[in-house]
Amino acid sequence: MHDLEPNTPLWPLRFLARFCPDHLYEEIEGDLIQKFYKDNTTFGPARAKRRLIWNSLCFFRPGVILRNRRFRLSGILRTDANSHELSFNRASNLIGWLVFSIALISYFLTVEETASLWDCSEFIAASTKLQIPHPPGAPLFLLAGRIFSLLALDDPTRIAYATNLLSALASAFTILFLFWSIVLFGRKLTGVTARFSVAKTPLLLGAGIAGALAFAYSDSFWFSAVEAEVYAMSSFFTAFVVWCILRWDLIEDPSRSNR
Amino acid sequence: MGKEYLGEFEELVLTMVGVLQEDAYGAAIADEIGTRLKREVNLSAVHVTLYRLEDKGLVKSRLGGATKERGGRRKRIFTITSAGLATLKTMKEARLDLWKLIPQLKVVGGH
Repeated sequence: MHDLEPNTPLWPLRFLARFCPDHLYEEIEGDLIQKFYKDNTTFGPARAKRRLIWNSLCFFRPGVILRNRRFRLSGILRTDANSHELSFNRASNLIGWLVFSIALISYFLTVEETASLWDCSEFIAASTKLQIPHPPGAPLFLLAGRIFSLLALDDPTRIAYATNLLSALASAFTILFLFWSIVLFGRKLTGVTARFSVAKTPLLLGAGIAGALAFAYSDSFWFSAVEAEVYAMSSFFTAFVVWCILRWDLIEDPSRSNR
Repeated sequence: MGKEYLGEFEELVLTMVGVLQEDAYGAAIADEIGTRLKREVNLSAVHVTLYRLEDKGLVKSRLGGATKERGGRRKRIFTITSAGLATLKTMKEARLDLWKLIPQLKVVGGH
């Protein structure tokens, strides 16, 4: 803190140094000092000091803090002009898996302990013994259900619970692909493809979070997410196919679009 | 590429960068807004807006020299880019087109 007038309060500048990115610190500190000196002659030392404290505290905001190198390296907010697309994809992936985790934990905590008294019981029994339920048969569901029923190990009373976990996992993946689909839809609607705008990132990701979680906790979806029914897995494949279509649609390079 | 829209404060700061030319840095822009528009703005708001404008490619920056009035700290001088000038021009024209549609603002005999 050299070259400063003796009455300059130092702790606001030290506080600023704790969170301000290194590459921005000098110019911000210089501006604060310049303003302090000007305020000193205009308003007097006491008020100038209060204004310096307030001005320094005002820099404690996301627009400054998130420009720190550790945030930039994590890819959540990379602000150099050519990396918007990359940073957006990273943020989208990270938040997508976060939403997936929220849904998975919710479903695992509320999954049915036993068999519901309708088709579910039939599906659980048929998948455990690899038999044939009512038409159309749902063979893929039965095979996946059989794998999950093995989680019950030697305890036949846990087979229903283990098979129900299949629906919980499939539903959580549905939420993941729904989140990504909403974000891709948003990009399509806002017409942003080649060069991504940092300003629109929170908007699109926020829309994805709201849409995915609203669906995750909707009555019908949650109901089928915690019991051994085919709807959860069916929703998963539907969400996956829609996501694939949107991904393909946003590929701008024709040489990559047919892969 | 999607069209970039500027907020009111972003437009104001971008305009001030154009006005101040080689003397456009955070504190000077905040002072200029206060002097010309009688509007007190916070220094941090000006800085964050400048960084955002730089992200959008509307201004570019370089470090200037150190002065005693800043305790020996260097300034970051911002200059408006061609994209920034084009954005300001587009916004001004759009505003003027809309202004012409307000009957109360039409001057009799004017255009």
